Amino acid sequence: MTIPSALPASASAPPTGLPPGAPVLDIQDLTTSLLIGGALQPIVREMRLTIQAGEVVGLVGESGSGKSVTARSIIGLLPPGARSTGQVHFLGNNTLTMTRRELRKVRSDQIGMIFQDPRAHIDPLWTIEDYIGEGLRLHKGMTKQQARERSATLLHSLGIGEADRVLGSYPGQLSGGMLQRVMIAGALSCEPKMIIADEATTALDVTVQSDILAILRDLQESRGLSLLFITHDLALASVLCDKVVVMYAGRPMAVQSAADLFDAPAHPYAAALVGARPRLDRRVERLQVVPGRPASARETTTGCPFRERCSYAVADCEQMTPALYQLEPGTLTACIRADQLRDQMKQSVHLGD
Amino acid sequence: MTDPTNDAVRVQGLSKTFHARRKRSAQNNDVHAVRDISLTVGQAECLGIAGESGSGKSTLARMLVGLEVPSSGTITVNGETLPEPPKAADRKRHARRIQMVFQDPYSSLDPRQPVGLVLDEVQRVHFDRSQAERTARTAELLEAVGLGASYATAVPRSLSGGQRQRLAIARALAAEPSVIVLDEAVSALDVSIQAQILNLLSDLRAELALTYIFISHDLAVIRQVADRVLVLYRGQLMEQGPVEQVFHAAAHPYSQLLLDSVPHQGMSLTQRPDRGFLAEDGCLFRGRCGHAHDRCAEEPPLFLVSETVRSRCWLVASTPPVGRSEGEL
Repeated sequence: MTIPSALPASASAPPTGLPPGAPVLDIQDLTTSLLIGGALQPIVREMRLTIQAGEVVGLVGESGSGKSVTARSIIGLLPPGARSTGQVHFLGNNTLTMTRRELRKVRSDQIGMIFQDPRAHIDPLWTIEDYIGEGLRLHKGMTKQQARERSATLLHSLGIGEADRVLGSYPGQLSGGMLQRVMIAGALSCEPKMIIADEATTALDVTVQSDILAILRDLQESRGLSLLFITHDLALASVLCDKVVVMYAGRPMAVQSAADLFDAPAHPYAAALVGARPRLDRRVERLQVVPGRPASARETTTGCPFRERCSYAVADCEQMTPALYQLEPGTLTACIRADQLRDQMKQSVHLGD
Repeated sequence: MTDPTNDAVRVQGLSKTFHARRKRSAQNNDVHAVRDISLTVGQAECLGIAGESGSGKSTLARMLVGLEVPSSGTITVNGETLPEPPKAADRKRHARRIQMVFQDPYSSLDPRQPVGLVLDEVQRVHFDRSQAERTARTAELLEAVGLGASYATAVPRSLSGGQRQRLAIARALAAEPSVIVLDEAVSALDVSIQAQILNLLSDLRAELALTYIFISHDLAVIRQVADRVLVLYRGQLMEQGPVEQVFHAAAHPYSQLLLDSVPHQGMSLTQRPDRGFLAEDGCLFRGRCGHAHDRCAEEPPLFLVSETVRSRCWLVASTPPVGRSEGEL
């Protein structure tokens, strides 16, 4: 299955002003604060993340870790009063300094978004044709007829056989899995360079989820799309992603390949997440427990935000707030003891194997 | 009516049909949420119930605890069958025997009712205890679920998701039931909190010899907690058996599809070509089944695959079908 491109020339041309090999997305020192109770509270701190062309990057962490706020900071979709500092370079341009008009342009035809709950993001009074076609008519200057044909092609490529019936339907008449495909079609309609999927399969049944994963993988392979895949589910991230960024309390804790995350986690928090998850292949005697509950960035002070829940914490962990550093080529960690703990972390995820 | 066996829960021929009325339409819009399900759960056993949305898991759970009236069938807990229709006293006795923990601790607790009062109220309904006795028991319950007696004055609104779910478990325990139905009880929790609650549930079960009916869409969670598993599809029981056997070698193509779809390392990401159709008769799964053949237009019975495994699929038709009386095993 390949996704046909309606706009070949512009879609495959290299983005202007971008040196070859430069990342599509480059986030450095991103700090985002939201207005909570009348005061600005930091939610994301010193976030770093890069995505190359055609790369699938997973952003994982528990609730309150700042995954969604990071994603929304990229495209300026934050609530009123929010403030972001640092740099978010998308195709070489800093989206944090863009005007609202420029941001709208980025959102309309350069970055597509897929959210968890399609019913909350698709107007129930619009037909699917209206929804998918809107961007095509507004931003690509298509006629209603052209937009309809293009929408039908898109739906067809996403495994929807009866595209005509779906285009004439209202969201309330479609199943969750079908509507999620519609949202993907909407995100793809204007040929974006990157897709941000925020818990895009979380609400779906596993059988539908695996279909959506297959679609995302295919899009990445056939179109060279970059994908930022946000999820709380480590196993899900490991299936789809090349590289995984683990966040905790608004900060990046580890960046490593998806395979390494399960085999040799680079941070005690990453190891804890892997160890706490029940397994499909066997019952473990006792799930490994991380004491306490996930902290958010505004609850943390100086020092490693995970230290209070970490079984390896030492006095030094209180002194300095760790930044990501390279543990080995391709693997970054924010744990100051990661090198010493390598074997212990590896053992902890292989307990009982 | 008494039941001679020593099973904690015995369900026979349970069905629930919701009648959807539509004006000016001769079309039959009945929804068969649960179709003729029979099951038993042994004392101190944990029975897992798996299935996708629309499989009837939650309707089954709600009927078990008396929140939904079955269209037909009987529910027997500890030898006592819930009469049809139940009187208030029957329902109260039933509630002493079987309690439920819901998925969402945010909507199943009054956000402003102090924790102590939540547990006090359950005791007032079910036991003849003095205020001092109830307060002492409340403290015990809070300790048992790892919250600590000091939480008695807190309100659910100020608790985290994991703490609320501990309170929901304490509330279920307050009636001192022998059976607890857990309907997606850990599904909304973060993975580190989920592990804490799953370990707590396993400790409580061992200490109090509790029987669990554990409903989850998450097969890895079922694998971890359950002794036996039932796989439901569109209200019908498709396969049942010990978790090790079902997870290792599923006897029903639907169970296999579910297991293959769970994200795991080395999983092949290919889209299944056709979502198929919803069969209304015969095998309900045949529209999506890769093994479907002519015979599937006829409804398969539950076949006995081994001593402990049953599968509703013609693929295992070489094994003897389970008779009505045996099917309830």
